[in-house]
Amino acid sequence: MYFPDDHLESVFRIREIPIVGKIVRGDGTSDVYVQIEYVTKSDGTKNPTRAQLLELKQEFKNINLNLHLLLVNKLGGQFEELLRATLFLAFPDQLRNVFCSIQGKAASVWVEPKQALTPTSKSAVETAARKFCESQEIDLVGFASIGDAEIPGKFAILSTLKIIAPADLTQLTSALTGKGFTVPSEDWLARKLDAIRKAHGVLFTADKRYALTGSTLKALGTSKNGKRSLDVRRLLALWKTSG
Amino acid sequence: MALEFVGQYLQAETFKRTDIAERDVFGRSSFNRYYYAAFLEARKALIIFKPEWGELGHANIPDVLRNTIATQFRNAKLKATKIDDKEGIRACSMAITAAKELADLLQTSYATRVVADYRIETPIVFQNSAKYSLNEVPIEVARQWPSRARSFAHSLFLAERQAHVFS
Repeated sequence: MYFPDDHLESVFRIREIPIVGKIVRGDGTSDVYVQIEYVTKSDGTKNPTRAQLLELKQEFKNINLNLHLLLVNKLGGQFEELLRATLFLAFPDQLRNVFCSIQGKAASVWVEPKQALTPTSKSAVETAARKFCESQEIDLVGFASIGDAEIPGKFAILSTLKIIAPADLTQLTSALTGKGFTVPSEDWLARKLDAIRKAHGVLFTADKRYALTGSTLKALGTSKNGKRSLDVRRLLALWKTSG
Repeated sequence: MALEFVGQYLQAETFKRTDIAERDVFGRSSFNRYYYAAFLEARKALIIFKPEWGELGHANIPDVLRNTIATQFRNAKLKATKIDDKEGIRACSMAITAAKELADLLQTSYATRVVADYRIETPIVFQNSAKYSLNEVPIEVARQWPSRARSFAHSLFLAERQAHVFS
């Protein structure tokens, strides 16, 4: 049975949930896309409520339609626009774009710089973004600048070491750089590894090479996911060095 | 990148045209190109994570992002928390939010793309000489789709590099 758009619209109208634009049907026969205004009120409650939205989906399911709700948030859009304008003004000619995600009172911000930001300018942009969020009583919980240097974390260091161990600082640095990480210096990496060594995560051998301890190997786990598996890559690396 | 330029070209061309019917077809096509540019940014990340995800249809990608990918990074974040890996925790948190945002973006822009390509009874509406929209979605919003998708995909790449979720 075919339900015309005005019938579908009435399902929303009865519940007093306003639709933005027109109802869109997908290429498939059962997909229906509807944009609705979604607001977080000052007391934190959402309008329409989650229960209302789930009920709507169910109602569509009952008539064999797969409802996709597209939540349009004019306030969220305004927040992003203001944040973008603020950062463009504070850092003229440095930023190409600014995006954010707001979930409740928490914001994550992405900036796309025209050229990779230096650590100093990156933290200046982050501070400015944080100040703006604070002014709107929102917490900045995440910040990313596209294309800037990325330092390897503990897991990345250990999993890279796993493939090539035993390895010295130079070998490990070049393996990490090969993955796209920025290693500030061999000293920096040595300090990181030393902290891990003190926590019994790695061994430092007499010939100044590093290897994982049994407990770290266990913690990293194993995977048999073909050539992507760390264990398989380790075997391949061993084969290359012995060959 | 290329498709995004085509979108911008079509957008500029829409403003130049004086004939209403021409404005409509150029305007619709600009929405279409911006959608595809965004879609391809997302697909790039998915293919790297799992080659078979390259075969996913437009309607399925948001689900994979929200379910599989977000869940994997949530697990990776727990793992990173256990070993106190600050970079890993930060990257995974950002990727979890990015996966959700990218899913929302693709779904919303897809719906607009369907209107652009198939619902010709819904016309391009000019608010003034510098603004037009389709099904109440302003072109300035659509223009951002590709770089928005690129930003979110970037966070997925970074988290993958830190956490090896898919390798």
